[in-house]
Amino acid sequence: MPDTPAITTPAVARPETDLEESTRLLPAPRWIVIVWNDPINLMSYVTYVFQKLFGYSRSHAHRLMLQVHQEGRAVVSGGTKERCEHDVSRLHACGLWATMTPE
Amino acid sequence: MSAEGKPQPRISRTDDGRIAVRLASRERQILGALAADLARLASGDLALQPDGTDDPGLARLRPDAVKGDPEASAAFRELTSADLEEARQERLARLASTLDATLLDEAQATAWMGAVNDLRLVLGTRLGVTEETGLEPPSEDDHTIVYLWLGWLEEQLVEVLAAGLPETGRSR
Repeated sequence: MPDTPAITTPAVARPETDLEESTRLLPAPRWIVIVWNDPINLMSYVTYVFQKLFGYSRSHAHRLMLQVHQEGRAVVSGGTKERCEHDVSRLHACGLWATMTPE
Repeated sequence: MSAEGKPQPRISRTDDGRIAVRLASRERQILGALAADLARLASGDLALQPDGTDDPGLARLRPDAVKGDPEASAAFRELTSADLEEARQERLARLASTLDATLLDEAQATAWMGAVNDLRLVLGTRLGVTEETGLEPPSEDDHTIVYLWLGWLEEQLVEVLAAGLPETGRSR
């Protein structure tokens, strides 16, 4: 090796951004539950289900139902993947057309 | 109530908190027959594919859970379908066992509502009901008439049961 002084960098911790994402402890990915509009479920029934399953107030449940009806979809809950799987299965049990997706 | 006023609801809350059901025996027979058909159909006795892919009505009862990801949806279905079906069979059985009742408790009426909703989902999907068309023009087809009748019945069940839910609650 040539006897030239190497430019050394002090041994400091590498910036966070150098770490692979897979080695980091990050917040669990957040998922959301979406209810889609369908032509069969009654509007009053959808409101009832939102109140019953999620403990939403009547007015909030009604707003969400209207959003589903008018915009075609609404986010009705969110959280960990497991929590959303639970919510989707409960919505399916009530006959609502629900899906989940990473936020 | 005046003679030309709204007809008396066929489902109503009694003073002691139960739910009164005033249906003709012919109506109860139809409901019982439909519930029995769906119980057999959904339990797989009559279905060809477990996910209902050969029957759009049944498939509607087991929708995809993860949009755009058939694999994840199939895995989800595998995990949840047994519980989903057990709950459905339970409410259909509950409806069948109280078919002639004139008074229902909360749990029984909730089972009626869920069972009627299941029936409407299957029938409505098979009839091709869409948001735009509804069922216009009105059809004389038996299934269409039954579908509309079930909607009328469910609307009353929901109204009575929803009135029993607290008005306040979470708003997010």
